[in-house]
Amino acid sequence: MSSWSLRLESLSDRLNPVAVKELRQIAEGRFILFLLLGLVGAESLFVGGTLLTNSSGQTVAVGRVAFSFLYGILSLSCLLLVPAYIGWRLAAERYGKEMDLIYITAISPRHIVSGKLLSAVALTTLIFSTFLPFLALTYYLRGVDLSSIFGLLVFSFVTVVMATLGAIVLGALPVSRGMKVFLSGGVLLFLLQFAGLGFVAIISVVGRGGTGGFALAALTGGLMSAPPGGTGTLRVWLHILFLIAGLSIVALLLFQIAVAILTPAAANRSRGFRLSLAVCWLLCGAGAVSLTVVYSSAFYIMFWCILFSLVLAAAFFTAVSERHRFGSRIVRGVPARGWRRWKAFLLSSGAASALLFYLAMGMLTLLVTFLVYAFGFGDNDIRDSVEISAGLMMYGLGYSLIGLLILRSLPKGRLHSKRSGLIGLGVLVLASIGPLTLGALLAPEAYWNTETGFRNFLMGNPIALMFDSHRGAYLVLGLVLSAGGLLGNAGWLFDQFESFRPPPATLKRASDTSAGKVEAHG
Amino acid sequence: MKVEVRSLKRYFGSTKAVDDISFSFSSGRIAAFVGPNGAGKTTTMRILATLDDPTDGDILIDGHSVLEDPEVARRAVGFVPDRLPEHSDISAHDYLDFFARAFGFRGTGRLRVVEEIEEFTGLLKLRQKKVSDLSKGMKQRLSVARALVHDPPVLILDEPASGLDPRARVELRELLKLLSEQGKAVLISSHILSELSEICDDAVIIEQGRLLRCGPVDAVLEEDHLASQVFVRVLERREQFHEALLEIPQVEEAIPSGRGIEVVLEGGQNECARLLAQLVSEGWKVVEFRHRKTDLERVFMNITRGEVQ
Repeated sequence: MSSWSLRLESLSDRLNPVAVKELRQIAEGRFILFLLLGLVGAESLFVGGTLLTNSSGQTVAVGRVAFSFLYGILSLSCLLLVPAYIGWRLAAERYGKEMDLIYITAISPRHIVSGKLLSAVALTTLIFSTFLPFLALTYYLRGVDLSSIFGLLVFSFVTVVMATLGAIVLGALPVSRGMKVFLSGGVLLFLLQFAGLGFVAIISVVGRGGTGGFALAALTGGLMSAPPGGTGTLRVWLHILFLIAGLSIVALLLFQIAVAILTPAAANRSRGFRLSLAVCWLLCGAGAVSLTVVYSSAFYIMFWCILFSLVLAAAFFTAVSERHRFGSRIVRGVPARGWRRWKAFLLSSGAASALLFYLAMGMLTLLVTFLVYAFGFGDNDIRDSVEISAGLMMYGLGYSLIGLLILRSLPKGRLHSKRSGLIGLGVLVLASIGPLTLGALLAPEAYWNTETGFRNFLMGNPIALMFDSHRGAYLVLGLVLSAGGLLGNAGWLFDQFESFRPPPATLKRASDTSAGKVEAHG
Repeated sequence: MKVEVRSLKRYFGSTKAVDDISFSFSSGRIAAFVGPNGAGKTTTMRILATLDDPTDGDILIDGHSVLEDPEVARRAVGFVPDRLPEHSDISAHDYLDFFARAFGFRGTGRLRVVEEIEEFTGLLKLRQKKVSDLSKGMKQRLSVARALVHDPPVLILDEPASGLDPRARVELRELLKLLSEQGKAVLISSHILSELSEICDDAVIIEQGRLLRCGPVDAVLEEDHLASQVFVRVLERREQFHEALLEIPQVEEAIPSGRGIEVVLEGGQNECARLLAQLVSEGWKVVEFRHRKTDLERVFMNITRGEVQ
């Protein structure tokens, strides 16, 4: 083997094995080849047709029109094809008895997820590269500026990567094929609504002759609420920064969720996710507090508070679905005593530790927001946000704990502990629509006769928190739910913390290395 | 290296695919894992390979639980499934190269390991062929090669001989013997029991998820009291001899066969010896007394009912 080949081999050693395999398959596969050829053909036809039909002198519009359509084709084809391709492959690899043998190698779940993601990035780059010459041509045809082209391509690229991460999570989920298809359909609808509208907005801005900065501002304005206090350049860039931070957080959390799903149940699979969530919470919180103080605008801290309340309310349902007993592998690494044990408890996989971790984060979120309000930054809107956030978290905690209580009440082994969250969600759905339905049927006068009559029947439904008139009562209900849930599970929670101790000196396992015979036990 | 299956259970709803089975096997020996279709062999093997989780129970590989330390188990086990999962658009060499990378082989070490394995399994000439284009036999070889890439001390083979031609079967048998001599603990399931009898040291028989019998092959055969069969030929008075045989309490069946009589009697080799002594002492001129060796297939047929869940 030549030294050059050796150097190449050494370089390839540093690459992610999964990415290497996926890229080899992409390179040798016919599907991707035909896809790329098809796209290049379509682009050539489209640009050629546009040039021919606009050769009569309207040159200013040609570049803009061509760019808008090319960008639309590029974004939608990547958004639909790349996540579907990567997610479908992963789902096929993990389907029941067809489970791919990659999952019983020494390769870590983190490498598997990053390998899949890298291959998605490479595939997206490949598709983008087929469009770049034509997109560059639109610049020379005039009507669109370079910063718009660059900014919009970056946005599309990031969106595709995000969607791919979502597809990886869906592909890795241990649910049936039917459920995966159902969930994928939901995500696709969301994507088409979220990203599709963004793309349409951008194309329409570019189509009207907007510049890159304007296009991005329109985009951020479309995705988030309008920036308070005008649309000065700094504000626009702050919003873009917010958008990037938000996307990064979602990407990081999706990555950690996918890794946690692929990690063996016995391992401390939640640690990475919890640490990432805490870091995101801290960084975003620091940013939100700073912006609130600098601009004396409650918008940022309110946004942060409600966003994380929603995340934590949902997290409670996943928390109760974690293992109801700490595995021996977790317990083996428990420090003997003191704050190290507490820290290990909060970061160890297990329903009790997850509940405590998210509860602590929720309380800190409310505390920080309240302190910002107490120091005079912002107005009564902040108080409303704190109330709504507290209510959301209390409802989330309450229903998830009820799910936990129901599962623990069932005979042992009847249902797996991972169903606790699902039971809690079921109770949430029942409590949300039950009183409303009963109200409409049994007390139609009170329900229908006034415009706000139905609000009296929203007990148990977190949406009730949005109505000022009923918020107080429903907050009390949320408090009763969560306190009741905590009381009902208090003994179990306490036992869990007590069981989180290092095991007594483990006996060294005798290993029989000599040749033996088959033996029957029992 | 010792693999211990402890009170393993795997339920799919109301179906008990594996129902509280326990056995163990160790290095340097080949254990046959035998049972009718749907007996729970594949499920047990998949749990051993960490591809599935049990409802209850555990498997220890040299003391390490496959549930608590699956990463350790994965390094120790090479698993050959009954069917190689579909891999399109990748050559046999790249496929093995990927698994070598996945097990941490780097640089020239990786290249050497892959080449050695290709040579060992006879895949060198087919290395550039796509996996999807390989014949069933070659795919089986590739599967064995993949399982051996990281030189695991435990090898689990699920129906490796199915679909192989006679020559490939003989080669597989030789390969397994060689691996066993190298000190690997091998667990193999197959429906071709006559072949298993020849190479296996131990046998584990299950049906409907329950363990029926396990131990060294000789002991399992010996344990099968129902199946002792001898061929007896006397010099004269064959009809009277047949009637006399049917009078002996331990004789269950006596069927004339050619110039002699096939006798099925309760018990093992000791009972056979006792019968011969009795016949001689009664004055029968026994000129041929041949113990038909019980094989794994007969034991299997005797103790299983062929029922599926």
